[in-house]
Amino acid sequence: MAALWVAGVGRKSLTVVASGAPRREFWSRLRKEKQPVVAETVEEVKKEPILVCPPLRSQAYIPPKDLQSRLESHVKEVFGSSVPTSWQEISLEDVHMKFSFLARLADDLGHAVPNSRLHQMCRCWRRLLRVPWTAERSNQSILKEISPEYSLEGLMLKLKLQYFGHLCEELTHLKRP
Amino acid sequence: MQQLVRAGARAWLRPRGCRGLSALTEEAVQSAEKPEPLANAGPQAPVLRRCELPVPLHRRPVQAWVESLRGYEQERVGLTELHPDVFSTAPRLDILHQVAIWQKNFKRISYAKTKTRAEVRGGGRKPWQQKGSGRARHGSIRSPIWRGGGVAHGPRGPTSYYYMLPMKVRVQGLKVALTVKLAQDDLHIVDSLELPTTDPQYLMELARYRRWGDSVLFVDLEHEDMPQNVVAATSGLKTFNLIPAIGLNVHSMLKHQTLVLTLPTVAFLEEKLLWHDSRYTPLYPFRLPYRDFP
Repeated sequence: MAALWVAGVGRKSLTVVASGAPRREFWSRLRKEKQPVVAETVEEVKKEPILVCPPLRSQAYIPPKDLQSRLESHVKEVFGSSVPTSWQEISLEDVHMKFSFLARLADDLGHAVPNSRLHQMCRCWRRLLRVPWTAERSNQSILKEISPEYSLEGLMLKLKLQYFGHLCEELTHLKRP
Repeated sequence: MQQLVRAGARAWLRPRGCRGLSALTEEAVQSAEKPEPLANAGPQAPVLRRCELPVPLHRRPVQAWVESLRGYEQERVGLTELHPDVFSTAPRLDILHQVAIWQKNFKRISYAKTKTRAEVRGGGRKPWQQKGSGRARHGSIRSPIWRGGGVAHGPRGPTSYYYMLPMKVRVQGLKVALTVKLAQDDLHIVDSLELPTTDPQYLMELARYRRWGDSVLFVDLEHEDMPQNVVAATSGLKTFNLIPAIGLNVHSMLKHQTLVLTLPTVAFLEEKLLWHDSRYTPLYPFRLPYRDFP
């Protein structure tokens, strides 16, 4: 009898699948009292702690007076014992170190380096102390020291051979089908 | 038996919001304590991305923060390197203008058409004799100087304004647009577009908190792999739009105030856009298969 009743229920749900309203009415008859109360309290309790937006921060940034000491402490935290003579001349070439240092600094000061200026924060930090977040461009002077070591003739030969190879490959590739 | 059926029905008919909220509580608990085992937690495992494609010797990669959309305050989840020839190229505003105008005009077909004096009904007979009537001489009542006559130099039929800019110009336009967005702090890199809710209000508040602006363009890699939450949230908003990476174009980038790219999208764009710098001239159209086409 239970099996027949289940089969009956199953048939009814199958026939009613296409139309949503009779299905909803059918099931709502079974648990009208329970569902609305439970769902509402559950939703109210769960919504509040998550989707609350923190208060808007002000865009004005005033560097604190103890900026130097804060920078020094962060440098020591991140770089530890591998700090050279003056902590102001650390190099931020390593991406991991750079990220950890700048993230800690941003969390501490409440102001982060914008994306457009991140690539300029690489070497000397004295300018950071004088005028925060308006770093001067001096990368070219550093990069002038790097002299590329390759010959133009070798490069030309390499390009010619590459083109020849490319032509042969593409033409044979075309001919096959 | 009845209890089993009821339980099954309840599970089947439970609204999606409840399931999402139960997942939310777990995430809230985890984010409050910050012990997340995934690679996009804060100080424990920063998301660092190096530029895979070769960078020219005289240039250094540009960098950007990797953010996360999962929480309001997850603004520095990692650091990524961006190729300088894509994200720090010369700011060619003329190329941007060319490409934007091309995008606007190449699809345009103007259907305006007017009738000339030959097409206007009537006007085959000379209205009055040449001499003797005292009036001005006319040959037809539908000439352009007559009221009701044809138009002399009007629009003639559907006109197409189709033209194609060279492929390299269009590619350069995309690179310049990305450069401009990064240089003006309107570009944000995100590890993935996963949101904690489907609520569009969450996205709006997030954009307001992070000061992104009124309109945001989200770019994911593939149309099929977009998370459901962000699809539902952006479909409910007018100024927050979601496109796949192949749909990125200069007009959309200029129209939206902020551009949000995912890390896979950045890799995809770099590969596709840089290939044109060092490719050979096509021996046959690119729509046919090439061995090294990205």
